[in-house]
Amino acid sequence: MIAQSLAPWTPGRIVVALFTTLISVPAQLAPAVSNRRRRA
Amino acid sequence: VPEIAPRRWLYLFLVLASTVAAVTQMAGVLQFDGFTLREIVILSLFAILFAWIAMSFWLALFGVWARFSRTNLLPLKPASGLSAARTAILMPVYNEDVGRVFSGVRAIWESAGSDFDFYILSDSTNPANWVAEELEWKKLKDALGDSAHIFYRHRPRNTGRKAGNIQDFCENWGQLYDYMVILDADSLMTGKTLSELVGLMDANPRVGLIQAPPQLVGRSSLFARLLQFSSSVYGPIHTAGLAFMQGPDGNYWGHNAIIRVHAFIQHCGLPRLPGAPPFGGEIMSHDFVEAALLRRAGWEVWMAPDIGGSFEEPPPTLLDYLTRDRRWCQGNLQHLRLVFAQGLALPSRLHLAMGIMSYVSSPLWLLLLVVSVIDMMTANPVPGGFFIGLQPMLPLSVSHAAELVVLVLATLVMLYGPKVLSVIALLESPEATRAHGGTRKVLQSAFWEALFATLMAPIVMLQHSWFVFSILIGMATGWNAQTRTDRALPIALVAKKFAPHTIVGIAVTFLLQKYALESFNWFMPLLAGLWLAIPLVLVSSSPFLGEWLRKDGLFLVPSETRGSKVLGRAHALAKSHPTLPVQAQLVLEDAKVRDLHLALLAETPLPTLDPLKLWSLRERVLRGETAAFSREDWALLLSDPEGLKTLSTTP
Repeated sequence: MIAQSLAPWTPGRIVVALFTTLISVPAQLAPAVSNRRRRA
Repeated sequence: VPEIAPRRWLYLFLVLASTVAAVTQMAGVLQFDGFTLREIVILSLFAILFAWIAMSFWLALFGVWARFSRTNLLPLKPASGLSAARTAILMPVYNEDVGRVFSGVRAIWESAGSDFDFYILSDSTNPANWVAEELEWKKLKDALGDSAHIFYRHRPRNTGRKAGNIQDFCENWGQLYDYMVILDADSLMTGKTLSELVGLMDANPRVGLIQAPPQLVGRSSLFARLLQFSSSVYGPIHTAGLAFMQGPDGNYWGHNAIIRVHAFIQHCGLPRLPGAPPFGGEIMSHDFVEAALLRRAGWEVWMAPDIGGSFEEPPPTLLDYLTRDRRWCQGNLQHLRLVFAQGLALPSRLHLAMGIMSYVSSPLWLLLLVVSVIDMMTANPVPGGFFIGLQPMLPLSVSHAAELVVLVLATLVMLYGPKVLSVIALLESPEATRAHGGTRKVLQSAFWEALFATLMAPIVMLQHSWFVFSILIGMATGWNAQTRTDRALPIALVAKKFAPHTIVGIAVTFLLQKYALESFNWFMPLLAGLWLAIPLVLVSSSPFLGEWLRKDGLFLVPSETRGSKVLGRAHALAKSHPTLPVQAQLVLEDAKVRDLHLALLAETPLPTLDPLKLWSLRERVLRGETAAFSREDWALLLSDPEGLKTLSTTP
């Protein structure tokens, strides 16, 4: 049996994940908002 | 399961809402004169701990709901027809009572028939156990004949403990089997349950593991019978709640579960954690981690709360219970490193976190109590206005009696609510009520159980706090074999082990009497348990008292009132067949024993042995100096077939 990796997320990785979420949520919402504006 | 997400959201909402309500109430009491640092600490600890008890309360409530609404808790395809699968039943053994192990195996074999292959996987380091196991195995084989596929394997080194033992099986024989059922040295399962599990695995190819929650049975001491009663009455509600919430994101409890071998081999190899114990090294509580790894790989892990026919024995005394908890505590604390492991499913992380919290909550309670007492002792005494009836209230500047009573009531509901609900759920079924001794006896038993649990709680809290503290400062522990026999504990031992609890109880009483007399009564329930620690442990360890109360109809469980075939058989076998104390010496003295040992040794890969040491051992045997042999010497000698052969030819 091969030992599986159970390495934890590093604090850096958690920070990066949070940061990407902060950036990506507005980024995902942005097209919807700008489309609506264009239609109006 | 599509309906599982709303359940989980509702659960989260209820836990959060009740916690927020309680914390707001508490904050209202504390904020009267602004928050001090101590009060902020009190509030934070209170929030964590209230959320913790709210979680088990709502889980129980969901369990009751699942029971009353007759929700299908195991929504898997039912088994169809006969199974062609090959299943191995594994009994890992580590210096256990040999007679009991083999009685159990025989009872299961008689119930399950020859469809299953049995493996007794011994990691015993005690040479006397090793020899006794071989002899018992031979006896069993002779008694059951060729149709019984019962194999015995002894591992020269117990690398990786129980997880390593199972891994060794998987690597050597795993390819031969579709499924494996893992047992513990004191667990039993019926043939019907085993076949049902196999059928479920056959019909549901995405399932990697099904846990059959074991009922606690088969002991006679008062302590064990209390545990058996509470597991039988409160257990079903708890497991129903768990199953209702977790669905395919279940957990594994280390035994009484069926596992898909190839999934396990592929995904459950455990790494050695970097660093030194207690946090580094081998993973001690491997079961939760294995379930998490199966989930990570996409396999479903289920619990079968209603399958029945799955048993284990509780520890006979509080002392044994706490000894086991010491290991579990260390194993669960080690999971702190794995909670944030990459790729695990969120429910798996929660299982790990809840395992940790079940021990860490104790020092948090203790801290909350200590900080609250300090806060009371240093609060400015303001006279008047804090009495309800005759009960003095906490001396907090103004009367917050109403708020505090609400808080205390809420906490009591959270703590005792699940028990009350479980009793109601039990009494709803006439059959289950009869199996527990009838309505009156159920109510009496539940009352005494609650009282006893309340008295035990502070003892356990202190002990767990010490465990957590000692582990955090790096006092690692070994993994010793468990005591699994009923016995009244000697007074001297109990007095020595529980003197600290008693002393703490008396010291706190003295402090409170002196500095915070008004709030003394609030601490009575906590202190009573500590004062009575020694007599409580002593009395509860008594098998005589347990038996006497059984005759009186208290704490009855279905296995006692209705009996269970496999259980009765295992007990009868163990009783009719007391194992003689076998000495490792027998290998030298008895040619038959030696031949059997050599034959079994021929099948196992030998460890590398120090030739010089072996030579000196052989010389000492020839000179007849075996009396001074240590366990290690015997183990070494028993692992040396060449030596044993030459010694056997010498007269």
